Amino acid sequence: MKNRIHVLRAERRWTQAELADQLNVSRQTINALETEKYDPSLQLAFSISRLFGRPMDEIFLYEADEPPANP
Amino acid sequence: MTARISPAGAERQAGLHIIIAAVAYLLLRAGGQHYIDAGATGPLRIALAALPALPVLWMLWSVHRYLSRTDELHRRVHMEALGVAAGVTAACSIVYGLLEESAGFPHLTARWAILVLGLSWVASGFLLWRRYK
Repeated sequence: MKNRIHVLRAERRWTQAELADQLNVSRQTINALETEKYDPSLQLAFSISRLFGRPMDEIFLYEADEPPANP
Repeated sequence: MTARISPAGAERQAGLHIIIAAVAYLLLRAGGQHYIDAGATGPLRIALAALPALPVLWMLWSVHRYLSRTDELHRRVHMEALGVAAGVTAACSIVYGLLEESAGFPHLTARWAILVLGLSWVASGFLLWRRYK
């Protein structure tokens, strides 16, 4: 699944650590999300959506023929 | 009530607890054995022999607490690593049990299985993390 977390974070000039702190996850988790090596749970995806003030489908893009990052 | 703690803080705290528990285990084991060898008998002997289990139980509780406090990716990696470690421990136990019974290998206590489980958990966790870096 593709996402725009890196772009949205950069727009706000937040570091990965600052974003991690606001979402109460580790910096490694933010890095794994931004590099699209990990797909977040629905709960974390909602938290990200709420934090950035954007609907989920503007942040996450699912392509049907693409294998999931964490099967 | 559980205090709110960051995933990094939970990891540091769990690491510290595991180190303290390991040191306490070694001290209680050595101290208890000293008094057992000196002739402790009856309920005292049983208590001294069982005492090192307390820090091990505390370590297990610390790991449980860490897993409940950490974030979803860390929890996922740790649980996968624990599954791999359980498989490695089962394989080692079966192979060594056969070697001990039929090939004359020296007898090892069941406590070695815990050491194998712990080491293989750390090693598999390290390898699984590489997937997300």
